[in-house]
Amino acid sequence: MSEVAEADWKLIADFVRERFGLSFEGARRDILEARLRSRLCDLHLHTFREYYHYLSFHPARDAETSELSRRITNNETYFFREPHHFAFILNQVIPPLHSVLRTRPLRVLSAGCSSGEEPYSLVVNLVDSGLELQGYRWEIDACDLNATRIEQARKALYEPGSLRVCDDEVRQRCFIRSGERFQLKDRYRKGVNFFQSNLATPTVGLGWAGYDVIMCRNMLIYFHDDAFLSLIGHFSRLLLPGGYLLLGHSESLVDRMPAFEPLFLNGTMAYRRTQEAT
Amino acid sequence: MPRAASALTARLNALASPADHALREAEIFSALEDESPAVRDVAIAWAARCIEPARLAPLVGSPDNAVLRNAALAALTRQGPYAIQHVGGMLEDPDPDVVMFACQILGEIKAVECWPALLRLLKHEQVNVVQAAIEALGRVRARDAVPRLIEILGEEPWLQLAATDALGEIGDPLAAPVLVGLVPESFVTIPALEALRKIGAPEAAEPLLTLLFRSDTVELRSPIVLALAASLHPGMPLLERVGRRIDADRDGIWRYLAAVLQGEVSGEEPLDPLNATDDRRGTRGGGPLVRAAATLALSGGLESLHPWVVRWGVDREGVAWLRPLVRRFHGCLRATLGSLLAHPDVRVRQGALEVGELTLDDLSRINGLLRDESEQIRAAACRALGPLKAVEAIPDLLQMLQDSTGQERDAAAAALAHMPAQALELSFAPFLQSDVDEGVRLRAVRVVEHSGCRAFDPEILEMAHAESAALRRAAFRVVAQMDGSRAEVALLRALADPEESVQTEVLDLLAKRPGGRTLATLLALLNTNDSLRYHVIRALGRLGAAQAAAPLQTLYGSALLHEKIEILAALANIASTGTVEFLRQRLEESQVEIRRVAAQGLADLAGPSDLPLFSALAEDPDWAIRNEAARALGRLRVPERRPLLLVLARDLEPVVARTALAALSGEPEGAASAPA
Repeated sequence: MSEVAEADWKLIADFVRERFGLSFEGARRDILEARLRSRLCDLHLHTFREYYHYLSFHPARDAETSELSRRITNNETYFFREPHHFAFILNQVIPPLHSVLRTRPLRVLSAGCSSGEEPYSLVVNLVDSGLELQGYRWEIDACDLNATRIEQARKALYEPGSLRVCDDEVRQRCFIRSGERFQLKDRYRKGVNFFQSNLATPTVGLGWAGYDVIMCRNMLIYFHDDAFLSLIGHFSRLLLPGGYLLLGHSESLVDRMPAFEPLFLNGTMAYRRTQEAT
Repeated sequence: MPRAASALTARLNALASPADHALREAEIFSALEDESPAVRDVAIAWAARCIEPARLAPLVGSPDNAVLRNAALAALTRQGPYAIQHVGGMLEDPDPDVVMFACQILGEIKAVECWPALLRLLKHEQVNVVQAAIEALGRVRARDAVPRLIEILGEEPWLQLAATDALGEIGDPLAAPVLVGLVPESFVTIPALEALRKIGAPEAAEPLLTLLFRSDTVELRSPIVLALAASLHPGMPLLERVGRRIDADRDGIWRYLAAVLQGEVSGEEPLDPLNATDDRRGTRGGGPLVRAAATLALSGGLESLHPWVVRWGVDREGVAWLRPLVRRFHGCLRATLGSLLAHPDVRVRQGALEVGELTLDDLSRINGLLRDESEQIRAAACRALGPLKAVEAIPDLLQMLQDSTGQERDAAAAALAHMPAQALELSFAPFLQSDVDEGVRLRAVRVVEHSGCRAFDPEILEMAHAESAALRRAAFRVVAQMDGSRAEVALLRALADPEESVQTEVLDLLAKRPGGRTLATLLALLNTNDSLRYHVIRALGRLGAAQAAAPLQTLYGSALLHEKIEILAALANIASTGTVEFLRQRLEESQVEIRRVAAQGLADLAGPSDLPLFSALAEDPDWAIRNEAARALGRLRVPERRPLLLVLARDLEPVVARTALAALSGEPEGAASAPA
């Protein structure tokens, strides 16, 4: 059981919820507490209420809010996680668009991309499938709340843990060893545009009805209900009619959003934006 | 905004807007059966807050409208102690459904004072009522009900099930023999084993052991192992027999326990899936079944299983339960420790180092592991040496401090910090010299800090001028331990350090080391108008010196908001004459955070004469201030507080309600509402 006073916890949890749309109730409370304790120590603060005061009123509050966002979104991921989604894009999304993709690039949004493993995995799949040689292009917008992660993504230099499911062949083909780490080869970094964005209150203009696919995997589980519905509504406006939303295996929209029609194809659950959705 | 969402918001706003009493009540009753669960949830909170139990109770008996009935039940439950008297009266209702729901509410509320009435209901003619009363007796943990509940174990199946669960909740060992008798043939076998696990009665251990050997399915073995492990206690003569019998059954129970300890038996409770990576989900630390199997293996001296047990001690989660278990069955690893430390599996060696009760007799083995091929093992060996205060190992540890990196270097430093100060004096000086690598020096200073060694004070004072801010911070932490004016002067001078992190650190240190010129210097620093002043205010608060109160109050008028907050917190900590009045005046300010901090300070300083103040604060629109009122009322041991707390216990904000309920639960039983 946590020793943090209930009221102090509520102040911080409400702050995180309002600023980032993230919820750390139940078992996740321990995660947030653990991530913030060392920060309190750094700042010589003793209670979560003092930290709330610091975040809300101290002259350095903006910088501290950025630091807070880094700490609470420090989620590990890895290359080729849930690979069936990449196969889904290659086999279900792209074929019906063949004629359209002669005139414009495939447009994908990787929302909550962390340090870039997801969008780069998609590029590897697209390159390996030979689409580039057939003249197809792609534009992948990739965003995350955590600015440090975005910087890491731009550098494309990875610890071995990020390659945990890559065999030796993939490591040699896609990466250049750099000491203990792995640098993704340039050819697999093409067409990806990284930027920092708070999806709960997006300030970067992503345009309307511009994406063929939005990937937002294993992130919505951290969103509280209001932010969840607001974000999915936002996604429905960002997707082209008939575009696809791909979520993590433990996330579901079934019976929650009429703007999306659930599809189960070859073992993959995807959500297609209905034509009427606005 | 979509139309549906807009309508929802309008309905929620209608509940929250001030209106006359009758109109609001009508709105709430209407919203209790709203089609939207979100509206119903808010209406339930308002109903708990505004509607008397007597007005809600009739809805409990409305069989035609389940939505309304469930909402009323939820509202009455949320009212908690406020509703007990009325709901207790519902136990006499002629309608058995009303009585059943009343039992459920009283159980949820944990209305301990109602147990006599609930006990009488065990003779009710309606089985549903009896079942609900049994469940409620379990929830209120009514020990006096145990004999009757045991009798019910021989009655019809649904009542057996409820009684079994209730006996587990109550936890009286009196029930253990009867519950054992229900295994393995009865309808309630698994619930009975779960109840036995909760009770953990030693007298159940022998029959459970017998049952374990009769069980031939995982479905039955697992709950028996859980119940048996909970029933085993240090010093029981049975322990040796547990080990002997299991060891002799290599193809049966032994193999099963080995599989559990290797994580191959399902049924483990998953750990937080969000915090576990895909490939290790549910395996970190070990769940209840692994812990139960480990209890059997350790308490029964099942040496052949020890490698698989200690292997769980390789991560923090495993160490957190395994180390206390090993200590509980003191000496349980003694016979196998040597072989575990020499085991070919690196995880076994590490686990043995982390959780084994190591003594100086194991020193040569641990020293040998300082040269193990695995860095994990070398680091674990260092960690093991510290608590032993094995001075013989100091040369090796110093070598590792100098030559190794990462966790190994940290572990060597941690071990050296445990060593007697005198033992370090002979050989530690070279590590503090200015030409030594900064990483080594930093760890060396921490060793000096933790060991309390005073032999290196000159080197440390020198290091307080180091170029690295991290080194200066570390050095000042040691300086703060030194006696005398020289140390104080060094700390006070450090307040002018160019690095703010050093200034802040030193302020913290000074606040823990009152005396001499510290107070005067800090008071002088209040006149500076820079970022350090925020920290100075906080340091003065922690010093708690009454002389600081007046300057802080004077500064308040010109301070920035973040400083004002700290000034109020500091004044509350200093608690000098006039503080209460100063804080009271702050309640009149418009900035809500100022009012919150003032209320917090007043709650800390509350006396019986402040009851009218907290009575007013209990109605404040801000939840945090109402919470402070509830906290203060919890401290004021006066009977007049009870009606106020009963209102706060029904607050719309759950945090406030919980604070008030905690205050009420601290009252003597006689102060609670009388049962019907």
